[in-house]
Amino acid sequence: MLNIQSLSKEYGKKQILNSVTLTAKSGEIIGLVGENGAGKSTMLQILATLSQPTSGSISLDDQSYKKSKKHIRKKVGFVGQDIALWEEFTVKENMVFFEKLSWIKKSEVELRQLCRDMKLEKWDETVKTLSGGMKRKLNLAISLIHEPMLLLLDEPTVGIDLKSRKEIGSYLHDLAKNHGKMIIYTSHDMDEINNLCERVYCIGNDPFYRKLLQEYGKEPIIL
Amino acid sequence: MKSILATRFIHWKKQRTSLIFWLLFPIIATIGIITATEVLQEDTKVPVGVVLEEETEESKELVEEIKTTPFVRIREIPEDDALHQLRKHELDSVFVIHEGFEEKILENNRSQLITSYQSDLSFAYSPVKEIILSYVQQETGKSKAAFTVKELEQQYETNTGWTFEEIVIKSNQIEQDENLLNTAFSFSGSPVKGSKNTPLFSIWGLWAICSMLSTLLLFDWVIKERQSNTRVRFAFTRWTLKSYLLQNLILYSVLFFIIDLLTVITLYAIFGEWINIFNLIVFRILLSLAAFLLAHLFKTTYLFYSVSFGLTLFVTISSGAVLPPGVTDWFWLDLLNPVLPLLSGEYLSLWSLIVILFTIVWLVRKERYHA
Repeated sequence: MLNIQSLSKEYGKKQILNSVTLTAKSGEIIGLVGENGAGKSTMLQILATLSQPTSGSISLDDQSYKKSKKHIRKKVGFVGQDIALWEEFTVKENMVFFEKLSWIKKSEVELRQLCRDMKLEKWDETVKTLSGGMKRKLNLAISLIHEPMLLLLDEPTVGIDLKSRKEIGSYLHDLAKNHGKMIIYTSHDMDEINNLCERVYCIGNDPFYRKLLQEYGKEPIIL
Repeated sequence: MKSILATRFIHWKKQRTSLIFWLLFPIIATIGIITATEVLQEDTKVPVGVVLEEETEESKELVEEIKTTPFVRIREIPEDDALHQLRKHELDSVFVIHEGFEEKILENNRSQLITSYQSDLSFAYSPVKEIILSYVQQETGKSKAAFTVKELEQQYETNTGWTFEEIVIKSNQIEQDENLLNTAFSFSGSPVKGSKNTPLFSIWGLWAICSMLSTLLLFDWVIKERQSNTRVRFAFTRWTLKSYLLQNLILYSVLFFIIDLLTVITLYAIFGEWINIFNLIVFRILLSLAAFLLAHLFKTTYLFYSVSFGLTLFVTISSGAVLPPGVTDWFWLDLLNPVLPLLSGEYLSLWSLIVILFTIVWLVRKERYHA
């Protein structure tokens, strides 16, 4: 279980997050929406231990972020906005490269299966020749090698075709419902958020997003 | 380390051509430059013809002696050919060593030993003639000494039992032991070696400069991997980015050192040049660390490559290749020169202290990830 209590983040005098409190359970997919610069990415970076909050506390599986950062990192998977791949490597080489550095050892068959589950079949092709959708899938697959319990996704489907978007969405749904992963997801695509997430948090005080969520029949939770 | 090696192999596989090229560049460039300058030196020598009418110890020794004359190339050919080539100015001058040369030397007879020819364009004639004169003087002197000893033996009716040859050998030994003048040249404190054809450059000095360039250029991986989007993934792997970089530094240093050892064997086999292995290890460690740390200062490889070429050029100039040592008063240049400790074996320099200091700073500095 993820427990966030009174989390705040300031950059200088600018308040980005103001006393955010939320909890997430295993198998849940939580959506974060808000205008650009509202603090969605900052929130994910704090949850990924890549940034420190100004105040507040976070715990994952009763382990405090402050006290056991190293252990927390083993349980967290992070997919940033940028594609973090070796462009000149093949899909296989990318998977093997990060598996070698991972805490969990996986065979080549297991790695290939992970890609297949995501409908990524081009195993021996160089990343630079792949479509944007394929790259996004590989980006996600690598973040799952160490089998994290909390998966943080910062606009993982931005700029890709509808088919790949649906495939990724369906895979994430399977991960949460059948493998018990907690997923926190940011996106500007309200259809995607509406289809995938049980709870949607609205970061920032922009009435546009509140109204939009209400139009989709979701009760917005303001952070 | 095994995992890091496996990941490094994936990178090396992708850049094998450039990796092999730059790893072998120092040894190939060194052999190439030294061989080219030797050929050039040989081609610019003045051709002098020697005609040997007898094949005796003394005549062969004289030819060897003439060959030591700087900038003279000896051609052993028949007299007719030699004179024909002299007329066509293909030979600078011709020296004919007549039959009975050895016999006359041993008899202390200096007349009509050698006939020499020169043309109006000859300019190697005089130095070669001087060499021959001094040699003949020296050899006949030894013979004369031997005869004198023998005469004294008879005069005082003593029997030392010394043969003529033994006296000559003894006088050769005395000549070597009490040599009046001995000169030797060295480059930037490099080991002195007696050689008939001294290379224009210090072989290890040249190799060190080429090695500096290749090491700097091959450490571009630090920039590529630190600036890559993949760096954020290291927060979620067994190794931190710093530990990953450090282990790769060790791998690269080991790889370089293996090539360095192959270089030692190759240069010894080709040129007979040896280097202290301990000096080489220290040079390799300091150079790898310096390239590694320098690469941390850059965000783009283009700028790093430019600086690498600039630094190599600067070290080449300050090492005495262009400005001879001692021309400037910038003694601190020598203290910062990474090549000099390899050649002199003096490791405690400003250069090594700076590299060690910055390495410690890098090791204690905290690492940051940016998503």
